[in-house]
Amino acid sequence: MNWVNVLLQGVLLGGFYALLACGLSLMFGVMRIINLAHGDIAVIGAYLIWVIVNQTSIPPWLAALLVLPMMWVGGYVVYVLLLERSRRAGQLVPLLTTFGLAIVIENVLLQVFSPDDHSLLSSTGTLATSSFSFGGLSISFFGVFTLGTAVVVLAGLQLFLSRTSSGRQMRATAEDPDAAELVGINARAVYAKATAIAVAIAGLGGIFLAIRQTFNPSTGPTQLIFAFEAVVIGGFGSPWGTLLGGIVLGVAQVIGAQVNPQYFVLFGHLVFLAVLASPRGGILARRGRAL
Amino acid sequence: MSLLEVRSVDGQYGLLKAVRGVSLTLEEGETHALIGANGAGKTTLLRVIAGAHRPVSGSVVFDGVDITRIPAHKRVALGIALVPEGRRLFPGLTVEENLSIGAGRGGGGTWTVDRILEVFPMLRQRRTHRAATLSGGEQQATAIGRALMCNPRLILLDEVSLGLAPIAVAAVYDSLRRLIGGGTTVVLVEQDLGRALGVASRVTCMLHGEIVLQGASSELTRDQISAAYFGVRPSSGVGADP
Amino acid sequence: MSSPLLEASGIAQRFGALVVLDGVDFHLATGESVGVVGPNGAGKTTLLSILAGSIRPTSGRVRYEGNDVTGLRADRRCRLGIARTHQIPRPFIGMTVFENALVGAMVGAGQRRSGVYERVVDVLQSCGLVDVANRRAADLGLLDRKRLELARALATSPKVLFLDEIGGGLTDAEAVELVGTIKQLRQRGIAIIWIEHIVHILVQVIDRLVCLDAGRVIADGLPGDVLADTAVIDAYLGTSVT
Repeated sequence: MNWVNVLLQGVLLGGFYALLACGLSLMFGVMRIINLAHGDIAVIGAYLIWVIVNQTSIPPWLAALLVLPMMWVGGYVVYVLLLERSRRAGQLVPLLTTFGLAIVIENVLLQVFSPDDHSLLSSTGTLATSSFSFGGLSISFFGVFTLGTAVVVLAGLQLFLSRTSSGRQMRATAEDPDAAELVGINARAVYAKATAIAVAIAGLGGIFLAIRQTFNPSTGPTQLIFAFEAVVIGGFGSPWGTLLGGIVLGVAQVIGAQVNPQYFVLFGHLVFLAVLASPRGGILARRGRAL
Repeated sequence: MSLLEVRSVDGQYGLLKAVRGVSLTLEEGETHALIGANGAGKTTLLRVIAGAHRPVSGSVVFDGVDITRIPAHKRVALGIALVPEGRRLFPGLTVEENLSIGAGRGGGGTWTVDRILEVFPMLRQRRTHRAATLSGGEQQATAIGRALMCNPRLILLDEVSLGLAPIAVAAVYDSLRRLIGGGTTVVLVEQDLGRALGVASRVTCMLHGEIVLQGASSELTRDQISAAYFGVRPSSGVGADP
Repeated sequence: MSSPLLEASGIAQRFGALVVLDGVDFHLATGESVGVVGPNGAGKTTLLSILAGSIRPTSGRVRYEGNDVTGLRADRRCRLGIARTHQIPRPFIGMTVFENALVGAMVGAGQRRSGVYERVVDVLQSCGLVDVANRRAADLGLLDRKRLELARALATSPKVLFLDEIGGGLTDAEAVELVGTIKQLRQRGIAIIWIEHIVHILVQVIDRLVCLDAGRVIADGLPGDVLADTAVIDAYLGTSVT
């Protein structure tokens, strides 16, 4: 068994988890909302691209470019209609609201589509299955593409937050929405934008999900768990933490599979629990800040 | 036309009536001191003017426009900035980021990060440090600077000398005088009566949510003010509320 | 010459590249009251946190009753008799005044059930809080919150009490009451270290005054002498002394 290969597979898998986790991390970081519907929203993205590709002659890459703006708008709608009021009602209410949203999404998908598995695998041709050789290893092209996309998205998010005026407003609102209003920031608009970004990235994760595996209306919750574990392992508050968390999770899972194919998910859970129990919290956990 | 009119405002905090029937008029360029015991309602009144607190009744009129329903972040664009009680800086942002977040929101104006650092030189070496690492007084200075960066026509200061060393308080009040000279309208809540009266042209004293004394600082005696503070009705006062 | 109750030698504190304290020596005798002043960012609160055990110094040692306590955490030091208040009062918000003090007495002083209730009443009396003993901390005004900080610290039966800018935000009348309360604590033989900017309150209580500037002690002696020291005037007081 080639450990280098195992590590590599884990890293590539981690790229997917990081991409999936990004939106979840953003929503929690900015609004302190744990979006229990996150996995299901990603699955909506998967269904959207599947429908476009299968019902029209639009090629997958173009379909992806259509799905993202749709998800963006959907994010605004979710915030304005649901989350705005929930957020003001207290800490627990958004949890319940997103939990309810998850159930609604799953059942609507079940009604509209059947419980059958779907996948974009057949439509993407060799993209998902081709690999190339490097140093005696066989590396999945799509895996590298996923990791690369995750890195680009996370780097973009980091730059957005740290370098742009809009990102700075988002950071300020995350820390003190009341004081942010006093310096002219429209906190509602900031939260809506954060939700839109989070949902759009979740949709992107869903597109990659659709290509790499099969999905059905109940695929969402499992994706939520992986995303959540990646965020916690990496520590809240930093896009790079999310990347690291995803990779650690991916590597743990692949190592688990080497030990015994049934231990795939288990090893991920064990690492997650170990991180929770450790004094540091996440790997890149932010130090407490009270003012 | 007055720059600001507060008309019979009632403000509530939970079950407590924090502000009762308060009316106030400010002319442009005026410096107004808001004094009174702790819990008198001064902070609530400032927050109502800034839009951070919705009054139960009454109205706030700024430059002839009724702004009672306008949210706080839009009032900044109109030219109202509040330096809130309690150092509400953004802890994860640097001093420079805290300052520049207020920029470009108000009307045209001359405050820049460099000018702020001139007024508060202690912040120069902390420019790129996160606000959470600052000392109390440095935070206070940054909070004032952040509001100034909005280039406000009306600036509301809630106990800005809190936590500042005497030399820093002197610097703040120096810069306040420059603000006043430049035509900015100032309302300040200040426990140090000497400082407050030294810089303000008019004074309002509040007690238990009501105005108990109001007038030009030059016309009011120290005795009248002390009496108003402690709830003793002055026998003959200038502008005393019945 | 008796050895000091609390002694710090060679205290240095660095946060990354930022030097907050640069070789500070400090001593406190049993029952002595020392005031600490200095410009914002001079390191006063950091020094306090190091003496109280909330922060570990980068270098230097802290000795209490002759023993090295540099490595001891704040809660351990509390049980040894070191108590502190905070700049912004942080009571246990949902609990009553009595309950707040009770926590200090039972946990901090490690007292058993019998006798502790009487002790808490005694503490509340010293701090002027008996009338509000059953009020929730959330409903207290500023002065009473500060008194509650004192009471909670006093309940732990301290030998040394640290006060961190406790005078801020009080009216003149409230400040007089607070000074009265602190003088009562002095009479019990508790040694006090008090950081404060409101100098005219501070000097009513303290025996000795220390001035910090940029992480170093620049003056240490009788209050009158220190306040007349040119270095202190330049760095801290400015030209207008209250």
